[in-house]
Amino acid sequence: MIRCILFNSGINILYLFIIQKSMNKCYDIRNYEVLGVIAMNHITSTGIKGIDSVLYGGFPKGSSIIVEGSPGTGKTTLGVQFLYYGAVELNEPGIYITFEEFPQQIYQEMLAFGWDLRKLERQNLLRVISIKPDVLYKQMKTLDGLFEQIIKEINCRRIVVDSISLFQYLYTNPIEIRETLYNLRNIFRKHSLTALLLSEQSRFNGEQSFEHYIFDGVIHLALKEYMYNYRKRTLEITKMRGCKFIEGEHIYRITDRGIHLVPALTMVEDVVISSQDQLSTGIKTLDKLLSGGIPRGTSFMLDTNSKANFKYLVGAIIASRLLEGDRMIVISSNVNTVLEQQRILALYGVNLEEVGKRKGIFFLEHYQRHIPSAFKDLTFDVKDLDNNQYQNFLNDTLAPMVYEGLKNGESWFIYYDLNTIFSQRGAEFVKQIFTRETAWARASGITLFTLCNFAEVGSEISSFLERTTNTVIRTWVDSIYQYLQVTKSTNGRISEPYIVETISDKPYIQLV
Amino acid sequence: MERNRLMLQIECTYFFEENPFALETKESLATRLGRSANELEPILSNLVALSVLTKFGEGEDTVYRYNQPIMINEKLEV
Amino acid sequence: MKKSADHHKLIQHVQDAFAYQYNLSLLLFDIEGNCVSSTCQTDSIYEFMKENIHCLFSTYPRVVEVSILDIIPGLQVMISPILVTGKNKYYLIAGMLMDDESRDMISKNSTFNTENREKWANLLNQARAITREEKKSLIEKIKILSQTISTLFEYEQHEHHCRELVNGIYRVSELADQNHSISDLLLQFMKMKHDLEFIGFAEKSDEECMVSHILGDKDYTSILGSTFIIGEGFLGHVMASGMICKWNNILNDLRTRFFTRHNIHPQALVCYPVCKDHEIIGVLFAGTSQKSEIDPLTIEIGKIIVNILRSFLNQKEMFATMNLQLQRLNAVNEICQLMNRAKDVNKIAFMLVDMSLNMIQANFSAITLFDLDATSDKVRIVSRGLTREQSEQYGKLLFKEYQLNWNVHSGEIGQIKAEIRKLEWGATVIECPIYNEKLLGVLSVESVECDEDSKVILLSLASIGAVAMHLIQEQLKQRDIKVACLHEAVAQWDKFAYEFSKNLREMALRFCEYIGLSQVERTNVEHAALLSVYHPDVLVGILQNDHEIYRIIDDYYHLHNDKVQETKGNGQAYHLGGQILRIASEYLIKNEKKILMDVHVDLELRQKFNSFILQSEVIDQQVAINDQEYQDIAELSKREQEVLRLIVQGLNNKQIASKLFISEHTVKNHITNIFSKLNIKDRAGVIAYYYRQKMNS
Repeated sequence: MIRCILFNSGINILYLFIIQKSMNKCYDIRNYEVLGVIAMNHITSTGIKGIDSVLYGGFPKGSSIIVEGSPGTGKTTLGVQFLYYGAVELNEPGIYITFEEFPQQIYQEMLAFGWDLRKLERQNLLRVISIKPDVLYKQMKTLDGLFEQIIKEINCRRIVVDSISLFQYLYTNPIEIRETLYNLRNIFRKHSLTALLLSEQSRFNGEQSFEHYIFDGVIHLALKEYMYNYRKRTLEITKMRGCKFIEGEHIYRITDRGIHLVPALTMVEDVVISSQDQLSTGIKTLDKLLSGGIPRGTSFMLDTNSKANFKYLVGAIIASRLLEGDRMIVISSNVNTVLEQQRILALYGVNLEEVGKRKGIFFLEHYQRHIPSAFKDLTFDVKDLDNNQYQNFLNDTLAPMVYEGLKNGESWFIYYDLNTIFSQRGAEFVKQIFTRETAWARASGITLFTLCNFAEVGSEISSFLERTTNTVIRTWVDSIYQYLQVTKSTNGRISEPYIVETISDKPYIQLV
Repeated sequence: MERNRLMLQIECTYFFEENPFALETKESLATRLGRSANELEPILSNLVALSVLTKFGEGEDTVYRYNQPIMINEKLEV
Repeated sequence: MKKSADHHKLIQHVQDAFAYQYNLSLLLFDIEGNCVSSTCQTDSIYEFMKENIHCLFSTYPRVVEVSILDIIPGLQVMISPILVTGKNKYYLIAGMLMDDESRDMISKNSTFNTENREKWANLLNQARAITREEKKSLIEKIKILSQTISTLFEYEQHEHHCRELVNGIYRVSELADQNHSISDLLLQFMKMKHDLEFIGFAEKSDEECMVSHILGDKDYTSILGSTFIIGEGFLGHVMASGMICKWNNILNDLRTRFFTRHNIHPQALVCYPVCKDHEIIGVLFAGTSQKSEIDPLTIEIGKIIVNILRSFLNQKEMFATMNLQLQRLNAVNEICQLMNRAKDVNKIAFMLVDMSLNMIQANFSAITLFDLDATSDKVRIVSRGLTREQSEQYGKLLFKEYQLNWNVHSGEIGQIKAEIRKLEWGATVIECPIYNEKLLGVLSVESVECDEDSKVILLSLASIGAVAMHLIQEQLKQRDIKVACLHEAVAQWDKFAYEFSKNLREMALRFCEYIGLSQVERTNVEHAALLSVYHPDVLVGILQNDHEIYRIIDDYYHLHNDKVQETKGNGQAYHLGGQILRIASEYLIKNEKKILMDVHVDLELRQKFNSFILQSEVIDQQVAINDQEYQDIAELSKREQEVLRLIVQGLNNKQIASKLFISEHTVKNHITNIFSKLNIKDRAGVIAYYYRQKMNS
């Protein structure tokens, strides 16, 4: 399946053609393999797809970026991959400058990744230069010197310097070093080269070195202990001017085709995916956390320990469903009456009576309450049914109606206040029925939205519920603020706690 | 020795033919070929005079580069 | 030594004979007072003389002729100087003499003290009384004796001198080998005879001559480097005339300014021309300021020295030439070995161009290669030192001259010669044909001298180049034959595989051209395709020298038969050629145009293959497409078709709605219908489906 993702990070537009690798319906960036990139205005691909993802496209063109890391972290490989990809795929020839190694060594090592550097040289797409730092520096400053000539010769756009640490051994005076590096950056900028400067310094070397201030971006590579026997390689971007990036450590491996990086499980901002299978909750941020919304035909639980603002949460979700034209069954809660629901929904632009007229909503009433006349036909009174009867009712009356609707291509949505069921029919009943219902809903493509209070129902039940639900959202109040967190989702991600803020416009709450 | 001069010159030429994009100072070339830099100096000057190599810079830091011969590969209208 | 001993004996004999005849004692002293020889009547006289010789010398500090000396008043001796080559070297003393009347007077002399009385008495007794006339005649006799002794001494010295000279010449000749220089020779020459104050050598180069060596008692080095023109001055004269010349008394001669400028003031000068092959290459000159004339013997010796010098110079030159030849031979050998390593013709061409410049310092060098397929008129020129236009021009010229007109009968040795040509812009080139069974090309090097050596060297290089190129050609031919044979053999047992491999080769070749592989790579893939039906193990031995092809087949085999190795050796990806064959063969077998889902085949390559297929399909389909803009999809209603088309164009729901003048909601419904009718879940799927339909029709 080919999907087209539109990236909009505010500065630039990027089209990524991707292919869905697995049949997992999750629209997580990890499930996709980038097929190709359409040219950007001022971003250039790094040569490593994972890093491109982390940077929302790539390096800003013309920037000078430090790649720091201890020996063995793969800096050289990164540098060469950057140049190779640029040369072969993007027609951006490059220069690899090494102060210590012999070109011979590099040719040999890179052949293992299938990169024939000599061939690139012959095609004038690459130059591997072994030279002393001071000699290079002098030539760089000379008008029409060696450096400029080579750049012209191959129409160079990228450059890697391995490694700038050597400048430290050249000059002892830190002022001189700083000046040299500063000049270096300016020279690269002058020639519009996107530059990677490899550095041996490890991050925790005392103070932050001034290199970090001079250059436009800083990438750290590290080799960390993992599970006692293993190591994990991590890449972290701590600075990138003119560009957004996903913060934190990302794991990468050095494979036989080069560096392969897997972006970490953090929020993917500003991703809007057009698809038909995800139901928006009506709250933008929540949709994003859920990578689009709630997948159709899954169950979704809101665990709330306070009865405060979930009204709007629930309201927003229900409203968005109704506005989409879904048909809904509501198992009323003892908190909200129909009228109240009507009122809240009206805030979201839903005329409940209209909905009722088109038979878009049904109520299952467990309590002795007044039902407005408009909804009398749509309400099923189940308070007097015992559990068996209730189940029969569900099977014989409700289910067929739903099926009928489904056959006609309708979308069904069931909203549950589980607390009602607990209190009215007991925990055992819930356990029995809930699994069956979720399975049934799943199979039929009905989306289930339940409300519950895990603290009240106890840990055994709550873990049972958590297991059987696809998505769990928690909201709670912590003396001053109300928080919301996605604690389980179909894309496998847990979010950090967000603050729930009330606002004056629809949907009346926002997550911060 | 005169005898060695020509051999050394050939050695240098061959090195640059194999690595046409290499940039070498006389020191770095000496390291590669395993010869002394002083021996190489007159030879490198000679090669520059023959326009086999081009040089950049002066003195100790002179960088030498192979000058590719012109290659024409086409159908000639005879 | 023996000789001088003989001489001494002779002197002694003469002395003895004289002493006996005249009844005298004779003693010969040298100027330091050592007694050289004596003939004495009694020991006492000898003793006495020896003791008192210094007294005598002090009395007569300078003796220039035979003189009488009174030892004690009345007791006399005669003293005569002996000159050897003009210098006082010895003294002859004859005694004891007495006037005949004086004997009694002397003995009565009261100056004798009692101690010496006896001694003196002895002496007196032995003294010979002599008359005045006798004295005079004795003086004459002693003069003759002195002269005789003098001559004997001189003769001895002369002999000694001659021996020295011969030894000297011998030493000079010994020095005429590679370990010594001209200066060493000249030094020995000077040491031989000490009558030369300075010796020098001036060499000729082009039209000018320069003093290159100088030796002398003092430091005359300032004259080194002085030049003179042929015919100018003393040296110039000899350089021009070629004759040995000597000049005496030239102190006031103006021509000596050449020397006097540098503090050399010759009175006499001799110059020898030094020739080689009938050409004067220099002048040996020597002179002195002490005497107005140089000893003729010295001049004669000089002639010998000049001959030795000439041999010496000849030898040196020969050695130098030999060294140069040896060096060049070594170099050519080295080049030969290096050229053997070259794997393609271009490399060889580069090497020939560079190396020929190394061997012969020239301004430019070029190789013109005629296409190895002799029928075409394609030419490859590699040059250094020429501009592009010049190279082209020259190449064309050569093509005309050689490719078309050059004729050689193969089998005749020595036919390949170097030609000299003068080019338009003035340069002279040596052209060497590169020939091995047929003319492969021409090596041209500009030469200033066009000497035989350069020609020979270039011919050698050209021959080496020819052999190397031929070798490569042969290898390629060999390979072609091998592959063809193996491929034909397949037809015998498996016609299908034979055809399949032919088709595979076709497809792979076209694809290689599409992705722009080089000629070499394409040929490798081609050959591998033809042999793809064989198991790699079978081919290991046969393709020993063709590693690339073997690798391609090996990787293809693994990919094709799903024998994918988890870790591939040192981590290398599968060979590009192998992957190409895999994709191509999959396509041929399954005849499907979908992207191969084989993760071991590079994704980009798969995509490129896809585009390649599409492209070729597109060409085929060009007519079809023009007929009908859009594909109709059977199951959909008209409206749905419209919506579909817009989806395919990438419009979103809103845009579709506005384009079709319907509500977004309606659009959504249509889309839902399309989804369910086509059993597709989402937009992108619809797009893909649509295009697949198109491709399939």
